[in-house]
Amino acid sequence: MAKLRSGASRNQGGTPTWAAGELAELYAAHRLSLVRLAMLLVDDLASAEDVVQDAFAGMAARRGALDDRSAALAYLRVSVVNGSRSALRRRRTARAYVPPHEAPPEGPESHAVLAEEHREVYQALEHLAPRQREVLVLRYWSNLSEAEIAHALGISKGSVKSTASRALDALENILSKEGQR
Amino acid sequence: MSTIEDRLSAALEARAEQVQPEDLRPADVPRPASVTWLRHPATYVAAAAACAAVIAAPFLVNAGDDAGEPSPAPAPSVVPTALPPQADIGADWPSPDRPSRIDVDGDGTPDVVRVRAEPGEPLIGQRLRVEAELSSTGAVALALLDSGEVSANIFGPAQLDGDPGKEVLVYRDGLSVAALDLAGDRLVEPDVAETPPLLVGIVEEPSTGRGFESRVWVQDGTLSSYLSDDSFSGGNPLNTPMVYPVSVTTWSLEDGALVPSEPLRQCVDVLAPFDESRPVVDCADGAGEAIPAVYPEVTERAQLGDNFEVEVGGGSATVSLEGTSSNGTVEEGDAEVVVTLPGGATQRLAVEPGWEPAIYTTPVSFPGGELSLLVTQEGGDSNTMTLLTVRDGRLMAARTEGPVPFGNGFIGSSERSYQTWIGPDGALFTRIANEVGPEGSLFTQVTYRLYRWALGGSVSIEGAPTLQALSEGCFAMDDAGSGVSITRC
Repeated sequence: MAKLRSGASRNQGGTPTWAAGELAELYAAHRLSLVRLAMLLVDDLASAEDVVQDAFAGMAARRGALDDRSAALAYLRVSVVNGSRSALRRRRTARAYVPPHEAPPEGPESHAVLAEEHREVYQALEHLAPRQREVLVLRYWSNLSEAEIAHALGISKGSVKSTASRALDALENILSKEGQR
Repeated sequence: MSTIEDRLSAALEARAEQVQPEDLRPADVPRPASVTWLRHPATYVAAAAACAAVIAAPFLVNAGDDAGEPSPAPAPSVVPTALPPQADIGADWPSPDRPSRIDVDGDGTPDVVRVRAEPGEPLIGQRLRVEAELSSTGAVALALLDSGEVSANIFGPAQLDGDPGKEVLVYRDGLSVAALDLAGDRLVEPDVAETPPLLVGIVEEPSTGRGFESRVWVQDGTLSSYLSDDSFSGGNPLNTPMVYPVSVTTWSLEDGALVPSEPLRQCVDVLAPFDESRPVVDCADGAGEAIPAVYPEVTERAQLGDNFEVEVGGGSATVSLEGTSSNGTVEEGDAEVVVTLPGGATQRLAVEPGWEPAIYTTPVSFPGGELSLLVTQEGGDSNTMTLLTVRDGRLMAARTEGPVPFGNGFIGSSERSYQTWIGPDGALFTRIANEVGPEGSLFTQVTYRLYRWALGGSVSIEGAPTLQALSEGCFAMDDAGSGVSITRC
């Protein structure tokens, strides 16, 4: 894999830093997909863009240890997941109990214009706990492996598997109940 | 992939595709940091400002006093001479959240407060740097803390002492809430007792796998926390009942330590409208000092071949106990409970092998619950009880786990008995004898731990709910005569 900073300059402290062009390249390559990821987690575009902008700002301020694109993308992805969780936490409460996902009022980018079959699934997704939703989005939209999801969420691979399993069961249950109404 | 996985992938893809490049704000590539903080010009400016503030502060205070004018802003506290200079660690760590504005120095102007997390594995790293840019001096006051398991953020603020400045509260996953107080030029974490916990999360009960629920919140600047009186099963989240008692503590800052108040018994009511600034309500039984109504006990039961009707949500359900027994016992598949719900849907559930079953004709009542029935299988010196409950139209057996036994019998090989019964208003109780009665009698002049059962949630939506025992306290109960006398221990 190509080194991201093969030609990067080093400051006098010996710590590699970002070249402006490298960061811009990353930004151009991944901003859209990361905003989409954040929006699937926080449900509104403005918050999603904030989260991603903060992730890149964090990346810009970071020094060292990211030697290739996959590490950089992994860093950004973790930042986006954490930032999304923080955004959700600001919306909810200091309770550890995780209430069903609280989506903001539907905006113009709302899923109201989604096809009916997608809208049902997406609305069911909103009833899951944030971590369940994170696991499903990372698994079924980002197509990450269990190990990558475990890294992104800071949990074990076993937890990823069990969380995904329960989340799918819950999703199916919600959908079947909705279908009976 | 299964159908649900296909549908999920398609729905996520469709939703993501709704965001197109033209929907995004204009690109704004963050500028990379190119020098270390020691060489950054802004550091020199900040450092110079901080030094100037420290040097100028005494003169400013004196000038204000001499002029007889009220001070425009409280001066920073005197720096304790015992504290060594604080290293400026983590100034370049990323700050995942937007900064908060809290009047830390008490000058009436909100100060910018942010949390920086040390990069590492996981990326929210090993330490946190909490920093406040003090509007009164221009200095940056900071504290270094252990980070949480996943993330941390500021909530509050709180007013915990008599100083005009507010305290910064930092929530950390899995760790105590940090209440940071401005002392001199730094944010200081006061000493805090381990009990009660100042924690948002679960406090594990040793060796049982269960946990107590702990919460922290701020109401009108007052920091409060609660710990559930009883432990619950279920992991995270706990399978809490709909209503359960907790001990509420308020906290104050005295002489550099966080001091808890005397606990106040209140309740969490899951069904009540949730108020994040006050997640507790007064308990229906007040302070929990009243004698609970536990008798008379429901005794009427239906036997195999019987059926009866019960009221459910304005309708009527028919319950029957079908099957046969042999020599007072039932084997697998010999007997089942059949419930025909209002609307005609019928649910069946097999009775566990064991003694011949009977079913109480009075349902058990739980807050917010649907139909619940108690099946008893009596034999020998113990009886097995099973609580059947209807959830989302399905009849299922509630799970029982934890240190409080369910049914009738004896604790281990001891003579200490326990009994379970349905009391007034369908409430379900179990008592466990603290000691053996006179001459081994079960029912005379014994003190008991009394528990009221509540129905908790379940880990999965389809899973059976769990019976959770809520402690009512210690009672002396005398069943010898025609009535029952009950007094608190």
